[in-house]
Amino acid sequence: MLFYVTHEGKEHCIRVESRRNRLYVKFDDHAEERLDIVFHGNNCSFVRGNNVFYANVLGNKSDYTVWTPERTLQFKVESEHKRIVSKLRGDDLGADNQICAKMPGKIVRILKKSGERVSKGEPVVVMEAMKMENEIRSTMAGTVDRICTKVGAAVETGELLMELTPEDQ
Amino acid sequence: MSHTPKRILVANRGEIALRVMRATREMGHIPLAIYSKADRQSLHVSRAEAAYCVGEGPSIHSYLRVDAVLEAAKAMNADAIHPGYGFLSENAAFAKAVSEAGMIFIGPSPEVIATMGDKVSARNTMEKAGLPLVPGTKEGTEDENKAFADAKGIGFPLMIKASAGGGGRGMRRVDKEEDFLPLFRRASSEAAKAFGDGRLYVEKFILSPHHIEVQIMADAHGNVVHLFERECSAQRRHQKVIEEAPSPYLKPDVRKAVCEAAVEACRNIGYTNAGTIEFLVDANQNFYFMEMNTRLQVEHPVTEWITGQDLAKEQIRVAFGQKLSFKQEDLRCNGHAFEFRIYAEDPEKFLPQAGLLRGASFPSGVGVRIDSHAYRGYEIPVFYDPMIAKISVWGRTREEAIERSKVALSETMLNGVKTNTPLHFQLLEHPDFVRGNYTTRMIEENFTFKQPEMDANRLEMAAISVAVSAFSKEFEAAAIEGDENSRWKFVARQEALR
Repeated sequence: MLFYVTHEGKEHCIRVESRRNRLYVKFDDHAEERLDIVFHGNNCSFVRGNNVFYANVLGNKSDYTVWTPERTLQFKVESEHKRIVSKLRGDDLGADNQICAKMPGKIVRILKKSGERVSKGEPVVVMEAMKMENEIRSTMAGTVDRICTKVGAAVETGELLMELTPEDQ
Repeated sequence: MSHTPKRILVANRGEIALRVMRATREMGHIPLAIYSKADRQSLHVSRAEAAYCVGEGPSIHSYLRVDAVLEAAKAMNADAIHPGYGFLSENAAFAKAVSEAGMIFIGPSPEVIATMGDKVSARNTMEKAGLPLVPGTKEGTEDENKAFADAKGIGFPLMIKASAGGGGRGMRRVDKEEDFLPLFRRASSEAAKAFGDGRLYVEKFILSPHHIEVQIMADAHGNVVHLFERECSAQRRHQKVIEEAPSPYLKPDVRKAVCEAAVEACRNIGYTNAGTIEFLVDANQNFYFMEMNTRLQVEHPVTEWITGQDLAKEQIRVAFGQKLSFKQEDLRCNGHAFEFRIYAEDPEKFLPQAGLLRGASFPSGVGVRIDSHAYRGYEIPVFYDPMIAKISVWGRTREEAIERSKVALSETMLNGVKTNTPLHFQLLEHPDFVRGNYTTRMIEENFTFKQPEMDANRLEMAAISVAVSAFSKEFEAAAIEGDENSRWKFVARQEALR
């Protein structure tokens, strides 16, 4: 399973595999290595080479905090699977008032009517792409100004689906 | 006294409640607790023989309620009340109410508490009792010529302060004689505007101030002893951060003089029980009375380390009318001790943190003492002081104590909230601190907290541990929630099925 782990803006590609009850890791483009790592609750004891790393590893979905004796580290984690899904949903859409298709696909449902209020993160359109149905979410709170697509339409990447009038802060 | 067990209510919370309850049990007495609704989880409740809820989370609705505390004492048949520190510990009316309700207040008399609780009466009393005060004029004046004459008598630099003052308004530092009059006029009009009172007084400005305090114990039989001094100059915004005993700064003859002066003053005012006299010590080792704390101090463990005495037990003995268990000549200052106050706060921004303590590993080993009411799974309430632990460390020498402290701090992992542990570590490496000559201004003027660098290899290991944890969570999602330890068993079981 592949994870994108980011610390202070630097992203690493870490592949973790478990085979025959053993854990293996591939860090960026280094060679794969067998892991000697033990968790007791959140306490992590990790021996790599002869180096000992002892820390408390706490995660909440994508945000991880690692407490080491010297300092606290913050990490962002995203699995490969999550990254694909969020791409489909258009989660990384800009902060403007347009909701666009992030992948080519078909519009399955439109969940909001023109003039209807939407809150930030609320699903507005359901799209089918790569045989998966995905909700496209609004990136802001506002009112639906214009719907630019219809159910059954085949859309291309970047195609405009909906325009919003942003809510005053 | 050990034949009749007494029921002692500790009218406090957290680590100090635990501390006093330990002493209580050790002496064969029965510890009773009070708690607010927000403190039900605190360890001090579980370790008591009986406990009584005194109200809602905010201390004004619980720990500060004299009526509720007395009601708790009555309900649990308390014979005596130990107030701990903070809350009602220096409330003369509370001390009086406790005695009037037929119980023993473990502390000095209400009269002494009242006198020392007021800045002006405390200074007047202690001056009469023989302690030096910071040189200055006692009465405020608007007459600039009179003030100027006084100022020349005191010498520069000095401080101009508003009689009605507070919050820095009407306050000026004057370095040179020729600056005095213009600054006086400005301060006076500022004070008049702010407080409707333009009177000002002048006080000597203490260069390079050290905060040094003397621990006193006194019984009702006329025995007054000191248990040496502590230095608490490592402060931030008047909040002590690290305390040590003995002071690395005081010269032996000054130490002797300041400790003896404190004993003499306490004898003169008829003080009983534990007390601390705080002094300001200047660059020439002149000492001046600041204030007296009529209770057990947060930092008492460092004194216990160097003297081998138990101050809480001694307080209880004395309160029940017994003599102190030691005499001045029995006390030796042995080795060196530090105390680190562990606060749930961001070490960079100094913001308090509330929340769930997701992990708690405390240090141990020779000369390491932990006072804490926190544990893994403990939720830090928002209503109180964010101190969650005190780590105190003893060494045969100051150098040994510093090195041992570093090890202890590096073993301290309190997770889920940010703590100031890294700050302590960096202070221990500050050149002024290492030298043992640091003033109350060190942290604010001569120290910046740096986020410690992490070497690349350890950072990689951290990233891998995160990925592995995320990996195991993918499996765990399907497993029964709640048992964190089952993660690997579950993965193993899954693997076995393949």
